[in-house]
Amino acid sequence: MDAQLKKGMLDSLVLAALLEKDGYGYSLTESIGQVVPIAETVLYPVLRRLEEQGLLDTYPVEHGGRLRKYYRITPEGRRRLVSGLDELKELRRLIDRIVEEVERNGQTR
Amino acid sequence: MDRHDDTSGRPAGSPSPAAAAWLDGLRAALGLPASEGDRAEAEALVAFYEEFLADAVEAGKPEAEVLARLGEPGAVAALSLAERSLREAERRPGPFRLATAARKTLGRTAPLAGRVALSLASLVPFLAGMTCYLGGFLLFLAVPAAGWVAMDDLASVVSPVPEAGVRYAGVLLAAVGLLVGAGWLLWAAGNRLGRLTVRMLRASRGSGGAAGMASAATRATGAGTFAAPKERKPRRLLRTTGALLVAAVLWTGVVLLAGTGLAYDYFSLWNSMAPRSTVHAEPAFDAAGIGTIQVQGRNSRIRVVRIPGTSIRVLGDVPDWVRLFVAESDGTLVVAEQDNGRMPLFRILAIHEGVTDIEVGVPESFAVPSIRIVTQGGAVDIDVPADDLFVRTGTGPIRLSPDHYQSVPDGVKSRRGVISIERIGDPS
Repeated sequence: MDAQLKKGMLDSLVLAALLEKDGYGYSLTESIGQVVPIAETVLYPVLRRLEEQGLLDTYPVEHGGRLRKYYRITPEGRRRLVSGLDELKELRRLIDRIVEEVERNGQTR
Repeated sequence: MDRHDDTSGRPAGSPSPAAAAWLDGLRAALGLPASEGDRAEAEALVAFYEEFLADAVEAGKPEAEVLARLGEPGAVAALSLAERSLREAERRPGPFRLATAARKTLGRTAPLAGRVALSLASLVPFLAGMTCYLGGFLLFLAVPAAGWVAMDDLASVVSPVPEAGVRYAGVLLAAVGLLVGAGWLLWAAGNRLGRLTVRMLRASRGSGGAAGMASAATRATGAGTFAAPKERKPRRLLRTTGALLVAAVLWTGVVLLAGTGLAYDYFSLWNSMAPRSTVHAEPAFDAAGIGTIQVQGRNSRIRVVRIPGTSIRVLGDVPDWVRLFVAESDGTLVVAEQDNGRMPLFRILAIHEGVTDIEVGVPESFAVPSIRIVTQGGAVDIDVPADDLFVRTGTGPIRLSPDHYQSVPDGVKSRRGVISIERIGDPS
């Protein structure tokens, strides 16, 4: 899948990553980076925007003599992610269809 | 900055010199925050990267490599500032926020090719949005302008013609309703286009034109990204109340006007200046008692001519939406062209010249001490001598008879018309 296409789904990727457990800036960059090749500086604006939209919030945790900021998904963020599920499935269906067609007919000429 | 590095001698959590220099560079690039919100935003950004660097090193990444991957602090700051301006423009759209977001996003964060593609792609909604904002602003501005003109007319019209009050009230309410309603709609369209521009700017930012469009295509499906949060209830309530109020104002205006036939009057006026009426000021005024003849016109042809006899006579040929006021008081004869309430606000629309003819006849044996004529536009002919002649007209020519004037008196001026001394015949 095209890296930029994945990048367009960054908001969803971040929220989905926070579904399982809360994360902090570096850990999120690492986990998202395993799926999408993004620059380290791309994530902060996304986190900030999602926070402002009320889809995630933050809380501090003391870690080794300093405070670490953790991000967690809000009920609204969870709701929005779930409500977009049908659209994501529709997108996957379209992509599957394209892949299927290309695999079946792409090599015939 | 590595708190586990016992050999560094730094307190736990404090950055290394290289990291500190990078963070200082970030602070410098963010500049001096203009507001409390900007300051908090800048502090949050610096804190995020300070924590990021500490966590990366703690996870075993070489600091130099992490710093290299982060890149120039200036670029990081620009990206953050651009994102902040985009968020602002999305949350509370408006021409200035939209322009700032476009400037900051296009300024430094996208590569050149991306910027060009982005500019072209987002230019249409951006310009359309700005045009809507401008249109809305002008319509809002027209409301006090119309009110000012109406108030100016109202005093001189409604007092002598009370029934004109209904027309004025109707026209004013309908005009306010229409202007505010249309301005509001245009402004809302500007907001919508502004949000579309923001989405396009965000989609392409930092990823180049084609890639950004791919991203935008993903967004267009509604998957993978989230629009700005929905409007809160109080704001929606305020907006609905406002819309109902505007509709009520408009409706009241239309109802008031429904029975007055004003629409037909406006229509017939644009097609001709008919119907007209002729005004003879009767009885005529005894010239011996007049020291000053004062004429106030709007877009009139004004003539002051010689006539036989001993009385001053005033003759007016005016359309039915004009009232010719003629009165004498304390030796001053006043002739004034006024609205009579039939065409409220017509002054905003009327650019016509010479729709009114005013002729003041002065006895041949009488030398007028003072003549004062002021008109917005239209020609002025003077065929009588006056010790003190004062004429002001905006656009029309002024003719003075050579029988009485060898040169143009200082008080005679036309802003755009020609002033001449020539024989004055019958009106053409």
